[in-house]
Amino acid sequence: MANFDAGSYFLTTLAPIRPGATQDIDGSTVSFRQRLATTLATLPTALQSPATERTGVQSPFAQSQRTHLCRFAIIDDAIYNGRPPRNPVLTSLFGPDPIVADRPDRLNAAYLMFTAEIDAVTEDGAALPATLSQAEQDAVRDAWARDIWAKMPGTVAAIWGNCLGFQSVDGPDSFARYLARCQVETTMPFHDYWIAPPDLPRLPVKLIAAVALAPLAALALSLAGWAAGAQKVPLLGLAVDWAPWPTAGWAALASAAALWGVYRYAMAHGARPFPPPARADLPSVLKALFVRERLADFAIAQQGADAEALHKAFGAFLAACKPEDATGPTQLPGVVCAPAPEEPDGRTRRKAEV
Amino acid sequence: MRTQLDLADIQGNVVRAYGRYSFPVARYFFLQITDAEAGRRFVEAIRPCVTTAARWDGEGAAAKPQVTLNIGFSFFGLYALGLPTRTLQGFPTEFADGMKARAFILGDRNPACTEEEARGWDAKLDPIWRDNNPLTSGEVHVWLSMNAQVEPGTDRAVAALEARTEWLRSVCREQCGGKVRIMAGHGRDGKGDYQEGRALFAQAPDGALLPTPREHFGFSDGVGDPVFEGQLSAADMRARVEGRGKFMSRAKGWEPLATGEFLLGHPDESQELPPAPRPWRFSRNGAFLVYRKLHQNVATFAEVIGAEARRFARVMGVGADEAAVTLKSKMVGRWPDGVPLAVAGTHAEWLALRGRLGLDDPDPAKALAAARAYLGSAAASAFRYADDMPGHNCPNASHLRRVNTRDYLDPLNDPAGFGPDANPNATTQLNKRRRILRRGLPYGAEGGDDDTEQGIVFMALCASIFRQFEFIQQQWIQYGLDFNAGNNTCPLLGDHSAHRRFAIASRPDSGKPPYVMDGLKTFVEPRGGDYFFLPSLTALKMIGLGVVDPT
Repeated sequence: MANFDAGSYFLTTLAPIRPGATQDIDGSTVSFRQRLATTLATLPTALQSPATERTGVQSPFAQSQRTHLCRFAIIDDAIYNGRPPRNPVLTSLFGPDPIVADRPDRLNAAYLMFTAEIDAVTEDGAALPATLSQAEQDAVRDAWARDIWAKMPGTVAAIWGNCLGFQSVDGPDSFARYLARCQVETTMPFHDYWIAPPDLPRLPVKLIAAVALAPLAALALSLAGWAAGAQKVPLLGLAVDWAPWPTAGWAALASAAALWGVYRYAMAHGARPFPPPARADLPSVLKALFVRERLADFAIAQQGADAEALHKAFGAFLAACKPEDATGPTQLPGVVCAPAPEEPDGRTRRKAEV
Repeated sequence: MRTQLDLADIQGNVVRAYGRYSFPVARYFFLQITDAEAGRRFVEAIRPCVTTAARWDGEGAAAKPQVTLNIGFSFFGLYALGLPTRTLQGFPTEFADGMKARAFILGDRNPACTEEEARGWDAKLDPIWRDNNPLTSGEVHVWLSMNAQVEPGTDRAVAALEARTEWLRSVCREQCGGKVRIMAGHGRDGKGDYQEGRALFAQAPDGALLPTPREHFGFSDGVGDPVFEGQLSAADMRARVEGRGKFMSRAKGWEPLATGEFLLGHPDESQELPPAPRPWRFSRNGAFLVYRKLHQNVATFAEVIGAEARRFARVMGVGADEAAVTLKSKMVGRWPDGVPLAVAGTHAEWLALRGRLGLDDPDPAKALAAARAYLGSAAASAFRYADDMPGHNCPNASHLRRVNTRDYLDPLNDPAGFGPDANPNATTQLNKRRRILRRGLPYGAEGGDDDTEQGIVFMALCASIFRQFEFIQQQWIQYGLDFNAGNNTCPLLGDHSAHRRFAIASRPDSGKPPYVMDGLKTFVEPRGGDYFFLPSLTALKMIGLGVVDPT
């Protein structure tokens, strides 16, 4: 149930790579795995290093207004970790014969892993939801897949075209179905847009303890009464006419049921998604980065200004920066920072002097 | 049980910063070995003269020399000496790479530039370091240092230094047939065949010249070096461990760091043996040495402080002199005399403390003695940052907080914690694997500008250059995330070609806003250096005799 948490959708997919080989554009023979590796190696990343910034060739995923992060990896095989450890005494008594080699675990094919963290919305800029039904979660995933197909159909085909089962994909809906088929559950999502701890409900620990301990106490008293040869359960016997022996049996059953119930209750409680943090959707995050940089520039430029000038300048800053408007002016997806305004001496602040 | 180190097997600069033990003048030689056999003869000739860590006082003490001598080898130096491949293979990657190949990691090559844009980044290095490329005739193999005492009351090294230098030249010439040569290429003109290190001297009222702990920006340097188990006598350790070791808990207090943080073959703070080459006997009691010549742009420093101080004085409503000394001390984390800002966070508190310490005594001799006593005392080193998490006294991104984070990174610290009650249980656990022993001296004369030769010959000793020195340099000096300072670099040592800001928090009771310096320029630039292995005396003998056997 952890595909959805904190207003975000965490997509994990594993697509088996096609066996066999094909002809590359230069006429050479390449396996689908090799061709996929080359495609991924030449896929532009976001502009996050000096070298990529200078090329200006942006990651196709930066066209998406919902994608916080995505990642491809080729999983060639399961890592062989050697023979599983066994107790030598038990092995010599009962086998298996250590001379006979264990069969290593292998994958049936190489897999393309694709993961993405996306805003759990079906429309760009929509507010992040606190809860979503399974069907609504699926709708988020499918809407995102259709959006990606619409924005970069060629890239999608160049990548997943090397995978099994993609041959029948011919449009946004079939791509969404394909990703859904390849999906595995995300079991450990990580979300880090918290600026304050979330307001989480607390388990009623005392009530839970009472529910779990009452039958256990009855069991203990019954057993004590039985051991002492009493006619009635100690203490409880003051109120009810219960004999130790059948009471112990019922209490044992009740204890097991209570512990199982408490366990299920706590686990179900823990599986509930966190609420979305404030302004954690991608447009708001980008706006926040933009405002933070401009505010730092503003604050430094205004050091020592008198109150009246500062008030006036801040008004101008608010008018230019529009902090409450996530649509603009803002920072584009896929870059480390917005282009800096030019300084009077003509140089931009963040570009290094060479 | 207390560790008993075989001090006579350990090179002396591991346990002593010579500059602090009355050896204020140094010569650093770099040599190349072109023949393995001649190289081994060289090592055998030098070995008897190597200064060890043996104590200079107490029973059975060694005599304190007039001139010390220590020796280390680069990776390719050890290769040139004919060490077996398996031993060479056991050395850590960064040591084999050498400092020049690590320029991007260290920030010596501007990380904001692409490789193409950064081409020629090494043009400002001294010729010896610019040409120090593997498998060329410029490859540096040996680091050899001499530290000398001075003629009393002068800044002149004792005559024995020149005699020892001549002896070294004759060993190269006569015993090694010129196949081990002293390399030239120091300084701007590249003429010097050694790099000189020299403390800055001050004139006493009687005209005598006395060495000071100052560097070229006017600050006391080398205070609060770490101490490790077995380094000092029990009495010395008790006097020096506070503030320099690791803080365990309020009950246990300060303890010396594990020996293995600085010497190979001993357990380290992770209760492991640091990675080291085979054979065991070869690497045990050895250490790694980082040699770095750091040029100081004194004119740029004065110009930037002057410009910022005018605005700071206006914004904060203080005088020009107070503004200048406050700004640069906030950058450093200590006042010029070495008083930590963690102890005296404002100009007024600093002046008051100076008065109490007797640093302003009308008798200059008394004032100097008080200053020396203070820098050597626990008070100058024993302070913490968990009681000033917002950096009201000592700014979070100041030089001192970056290079030795003390208890600042304790995960239970409250980000707003301020005052003596703020997490008194904070420990230095997340800092104790990032310590280095600093050795070295300033170089050059005072009164120069950016283009004259002055700076620090910086040397760091540690068991892992990667984990200790390089981590501090990359993560804490050239980056600011651990200090909530984003990409901002160390205000003093950082590269400011791209990031020019330094934020100074104000104490809430001052009623003043925080202040941000935004015109920083690069004040300290590397002029070269390399990584060396500092073998034990046993290992030197094994190298000299050619009996290093890793099987």
